[in-house]
Amino acid sequence: MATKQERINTVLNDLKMATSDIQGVGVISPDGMMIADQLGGNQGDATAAMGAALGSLAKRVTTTLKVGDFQEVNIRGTNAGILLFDIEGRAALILTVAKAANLGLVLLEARQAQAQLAQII
Amino acid sequence: MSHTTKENFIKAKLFTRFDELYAPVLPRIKATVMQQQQIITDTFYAELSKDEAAAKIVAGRVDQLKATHKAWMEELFNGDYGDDYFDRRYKIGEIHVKAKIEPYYVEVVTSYLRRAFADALIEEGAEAIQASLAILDLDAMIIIGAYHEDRMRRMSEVTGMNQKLLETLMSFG
Repeated sequence: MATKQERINTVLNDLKMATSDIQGVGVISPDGMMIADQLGGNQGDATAAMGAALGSLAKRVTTTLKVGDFQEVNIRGTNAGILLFDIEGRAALILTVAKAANLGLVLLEARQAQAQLAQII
Repeated sequence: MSHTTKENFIKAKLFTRFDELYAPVLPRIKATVMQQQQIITDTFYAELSKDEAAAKIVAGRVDQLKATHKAWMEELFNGDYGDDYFDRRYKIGEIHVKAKIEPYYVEVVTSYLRRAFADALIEEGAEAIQASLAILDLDAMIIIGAYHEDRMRRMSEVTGMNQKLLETLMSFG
C-alpha cells in the first residue's frame, strides 16, 4: 500500500502532466513547511513559508469581508502566475503557471487535485 | 504563558552561570539593598512623574505602586529563581503590556535601577554589584519578552498566520 507521501506525489505528478501550462506544483503546511515539492528551483523553503502566509492572509481577508470560506488565490506576474488552493485548512496546493496559460484547464485540473489531496491529507 | 521567554530565561541563566555565580550572592546583599529601598523607590517614582506620559500612568496610585515596587525588589533578592519566580515575573510583564506601558519605560527604569543598585552596593564589592545587575537583566528580559510575545500574538491575530509561520517568515529577512 502506498504511503501518504507517495499518494500526494502521485496527485502532483498527474497534475503536472495534465497541461504544459503548469510549471511547478507543491503542497505546503499552514506552518509554512513543504509537504511535497515539485516546484523546481531552490526556493522551496521560502516558497512554502510565503505560500502559507498568502493563504493565511487570504483566509483572514475572506473572513473579515464576509465573502465565505477561503478557496483560492490567483496572482498574475509579468512572467508567470501563481495559484494557491486551500485544502480544508490543513494544507495548501501551490502552482506556478505559464504567462499565457489556459487558466480554464489549469483551474479544472487544480481543483480536481485539491479535492483528491483533501482526501489524503 | 510564554514558552519562548521561559526558554530564553533558562538559556540566559545557563549562559551567565547565574545559579552558580549570582543566585547565592543575592540573599546575602538583600539587607543592604533594602536599607536603600525607600529612597530608591521614592526617587524612581519622582523621576517617573517628571515624564508627562509616565505621570499619567501612575497618577492617583503612586502609593500602591510604591508598595508593589517594594515587594518586587524584595523578591529580587530572595535567592530562588526557578519556575515560580519566572511565572510571577512574567505576570508582571503581562500587567505592563495590559496597562499599555511603552517598553521604552522598562528599559529606562532598569537603567535607573542598575545605577541605584550599584550605588547601594558599592561598599559590598564587585561580586555584589554584578549579582544585582545580573538579576535585573534577567527581570528586564522577562518583561520585554512579555511585550514581544504580545506583539507576536497580535500579529498572528491580524494576519491569521500562526506564530511558527511568522517566525519562519522572519528567518528569511
